[in-house]
Amino acid sequence: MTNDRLSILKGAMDVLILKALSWGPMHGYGVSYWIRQVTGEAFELQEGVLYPALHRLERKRWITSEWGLSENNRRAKYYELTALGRKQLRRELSTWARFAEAVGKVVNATEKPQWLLDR
Amino acid sequence: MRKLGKTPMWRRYLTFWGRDIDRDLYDEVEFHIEARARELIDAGWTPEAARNEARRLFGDPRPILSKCRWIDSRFEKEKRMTRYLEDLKSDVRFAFRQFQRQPKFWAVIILTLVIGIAAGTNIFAVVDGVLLKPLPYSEPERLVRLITGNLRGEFFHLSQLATTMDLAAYYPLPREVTVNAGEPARLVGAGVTAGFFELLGARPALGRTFTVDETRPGGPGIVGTTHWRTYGLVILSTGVWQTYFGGSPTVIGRTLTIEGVPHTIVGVMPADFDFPFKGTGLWFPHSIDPANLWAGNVATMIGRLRPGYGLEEARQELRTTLVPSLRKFLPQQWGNVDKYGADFDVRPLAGEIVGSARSVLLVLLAAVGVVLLVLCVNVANLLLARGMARDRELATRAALGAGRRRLVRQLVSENLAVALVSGALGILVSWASLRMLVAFLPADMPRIEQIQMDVRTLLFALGLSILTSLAFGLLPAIRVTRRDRGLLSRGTGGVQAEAREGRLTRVLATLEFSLAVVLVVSAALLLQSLWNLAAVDPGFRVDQLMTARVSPPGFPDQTASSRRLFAERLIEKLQTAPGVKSAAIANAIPFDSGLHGTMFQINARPRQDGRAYYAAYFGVSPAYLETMGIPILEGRGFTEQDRIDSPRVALVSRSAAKEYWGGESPVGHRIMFFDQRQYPDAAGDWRRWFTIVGVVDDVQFNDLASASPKMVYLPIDQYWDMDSLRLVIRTPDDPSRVATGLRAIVSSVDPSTPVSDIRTYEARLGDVVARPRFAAYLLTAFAAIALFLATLGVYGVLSYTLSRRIPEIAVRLAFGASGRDVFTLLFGQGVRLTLAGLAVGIPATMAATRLLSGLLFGVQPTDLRLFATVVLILFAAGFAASYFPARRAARIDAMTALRQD
Repeated sequence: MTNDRLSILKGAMDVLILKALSWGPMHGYGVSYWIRQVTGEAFELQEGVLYPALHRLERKRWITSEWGLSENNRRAKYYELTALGRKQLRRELSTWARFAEAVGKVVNATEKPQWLLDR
Repeated sequence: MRKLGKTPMWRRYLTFWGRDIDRDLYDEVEFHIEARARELIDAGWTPEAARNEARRLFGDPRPILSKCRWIDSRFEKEKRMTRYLEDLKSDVRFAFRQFQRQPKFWAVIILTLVIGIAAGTNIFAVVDGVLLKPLPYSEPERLVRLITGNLRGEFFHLSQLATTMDLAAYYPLPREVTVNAGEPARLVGAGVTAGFFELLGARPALGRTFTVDETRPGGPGIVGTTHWRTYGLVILSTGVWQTYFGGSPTVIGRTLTIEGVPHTIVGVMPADFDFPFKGTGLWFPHSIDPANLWAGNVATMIGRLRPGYGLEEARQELRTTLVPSLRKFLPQQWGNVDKYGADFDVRPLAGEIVGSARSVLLVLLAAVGVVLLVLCVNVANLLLARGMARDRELATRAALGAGRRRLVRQLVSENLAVALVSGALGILVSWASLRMLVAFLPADMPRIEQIQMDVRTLLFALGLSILTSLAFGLLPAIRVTRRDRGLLSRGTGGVQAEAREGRLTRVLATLEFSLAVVLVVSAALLLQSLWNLAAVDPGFRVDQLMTARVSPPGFPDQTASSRRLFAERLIEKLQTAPGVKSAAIANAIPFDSGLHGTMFQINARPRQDGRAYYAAYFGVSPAYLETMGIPILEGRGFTEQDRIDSPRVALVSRSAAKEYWGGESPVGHRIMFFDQRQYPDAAGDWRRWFTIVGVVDDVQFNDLASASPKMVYLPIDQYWDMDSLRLVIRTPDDPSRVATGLRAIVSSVDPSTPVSDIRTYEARLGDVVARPRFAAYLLTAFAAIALFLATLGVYGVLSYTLSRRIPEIAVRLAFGASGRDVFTLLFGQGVRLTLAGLAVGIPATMAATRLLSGLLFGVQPTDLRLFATVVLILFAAGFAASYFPARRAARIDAMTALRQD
């Protein structure tokens, strides 16, 4: 629980949630838990952003929700990807990959640009 | 990651009551915090510390809850909407399947509605254009018209005295003037005072308007004056500007030759401005000569209420302050003027422009409303009968769990589908037919150009279709679904319910019939008025009479002798032309504009009781009376010897003689007009005594309905006041034959003189009755539709009763009733319906026809003979509607019918 955890970019939230749910129905806590696990606790998914995002995605009909019982027999709200959501995830993943590649190229660049050599 | 738990059954039921958003959100958040706490406990925290840490990590839940709540409530609304639309779609789809199953039934209903909606929309479009839309001037509600004697002196003084309003005046009659630019053409012109345009809030598109000085003789640019305008300056309409100057921007300051006089163009008005007459093309400065204020009623006044003053205040000021002040300015020789101005008034301009068209249109609007009502009742009745036939389907639905609300909704959706289909078709029909209706409108209907299909009209049509669908659909829907209790048992409840339905359809049929009575009587009254009007003797022989107008350029400025030369040559040519029996010229002719009136004095008789001697007067050529066929009752007519240089003579009409001379003969008496429009004598004195030489019969002059005006005829050679001349030509046969040669004859006298308005007198009379004819014919059409529908309604009710009572009738027949008894049974029911309809309809008619009283001529709304006739017609319709179902009933074969059930 340190402050140097990365906060999630707002635009990335949708794709993270969709990706998490692609494994199967999950409740909100499950989504945040999985992201912490998979990033090695690098990402702290803020609840203040997570829950409104979940509800927003439901309104967009990318995910649906249903009340179920958790492993501890507690009432919990499970979210599930819809066909529409799955399509959206594919779209976002490809965008993300291109974005990540592009950022990577910039960040990892090793050569000084040619046109600066003259100076 | 984790296994999905199974949703408990009870939770599913919850969706039936809708979602509890707050409860769900709270549970969701609590679950999250608890799960986090458990995670921390697993990592070795104490339960209490874990719980606190989990809460701390979660942070303040309130903003999260409120954000989520907002999203969820939106989402719920969207879901409800989607569900509703899907239900509606299925309902409408079902409705269309119903249409397909009974295409004829629905075609009849839709056709009926289309007629109703189209008729309603068209009449609304006319009423909206003529009555409802505001005048196209700035703050039109502050514009007024003054009802005065229309004298220039009144305007001259009132405009200086009035404090509650600003005033302007114009010449009230559409004078046509001749423009010589290439070939002669005729344009509508108006003389207007300075401030006229400003008062209306109209700005010239180019140039300027007139100044006060330009309305005075000798003002800048003024070259001549008649009693209604000055020559030398002109303002053009956009139309004239484009026709004669190609819309050139440098037109200001150029000249246009009008009636032989060059006029300097000072301004161009925008395209949408044409006050005071439809299509006004030229505006001239009105002649307001302080030395000649009291001759000629040529100054109609309009006003704009000043800020802070209302109509009532203006009226008060006019009556209590302005008129008494005005009396002091009146000419000495008018004598006693105590009663002068008693009838002056201030009225809203909008109402004055629309005038008498208002009552016609309101009557038509009311009539079309009644037709729509009849139509709705008819359709409701049809649906009710069908609803009863559909009870099995509805009972099945009810048994399968459809609630009453759901059933009503299904039926209403059906009706809505019908309404939308017929509304769309109705708008199409209305759009296609509005032009025809407008073409059918009397030409003198004001503001015709405002009538069009626009957003207002479309909205009205849409509202009308939805309203009718509710009117005809809701009642049957409620009635039909109420019976679901009885429908299932199929026992005595069903029979009772049916008796109720039967009563309702009978009440509706009665209502329909009584509404039809109202319309048929109204139509009959208007038709009778129209016939009465057509039967009015105009006072002259209308057949084989041709009329025309000739406008010699510059005529008003010519000398008396050159005018006489023109007139004499023209008459001579006309009288010798083939196919002409006799021909005459006059300043004014009946059923045309241009009649002037003035006060006059008889002998040296002092005026008794302050009453004004008033008559219309105009000049005619000697052959006028003979040509028109107006009989001379006493004395002599005019001859060729009644010239400008011979003693002044006059003829008076019968009503003028009776009014001003009582039993005495006016022949030999002398009269003098308070008007300066005659030629002065050699000494420059215009005050001339005219000696009455004869009395002629009355003629109708402005219309057929009002009393003939009191008139004085003068020899045209002794009284030249005109911008154009009217020709009347009597022919031995078809008058239209002379029409072709007329232009050639006129141009052989003067090639630059245009001839216009060539019409037979029968055509002129046709125009006079155009408005009453329009109202009468349209109302008759409405009445016919209503009567047809009402008859159909009675027929429908009886047919339906018959189909329901066949088993009962069969039993009656089996027990010995004759076919005649059965006939009487049903026929009696029909007659009772008809009688009930009449019993309700006649008092309703008495109340309704009061609306008509202003439109009636020579017939009372309570005319017994007419009422009796109409009642007979309606009775016959009711009989016919009852006869056929009754006859069918009488022919039922008992055994066949019994075996059916």
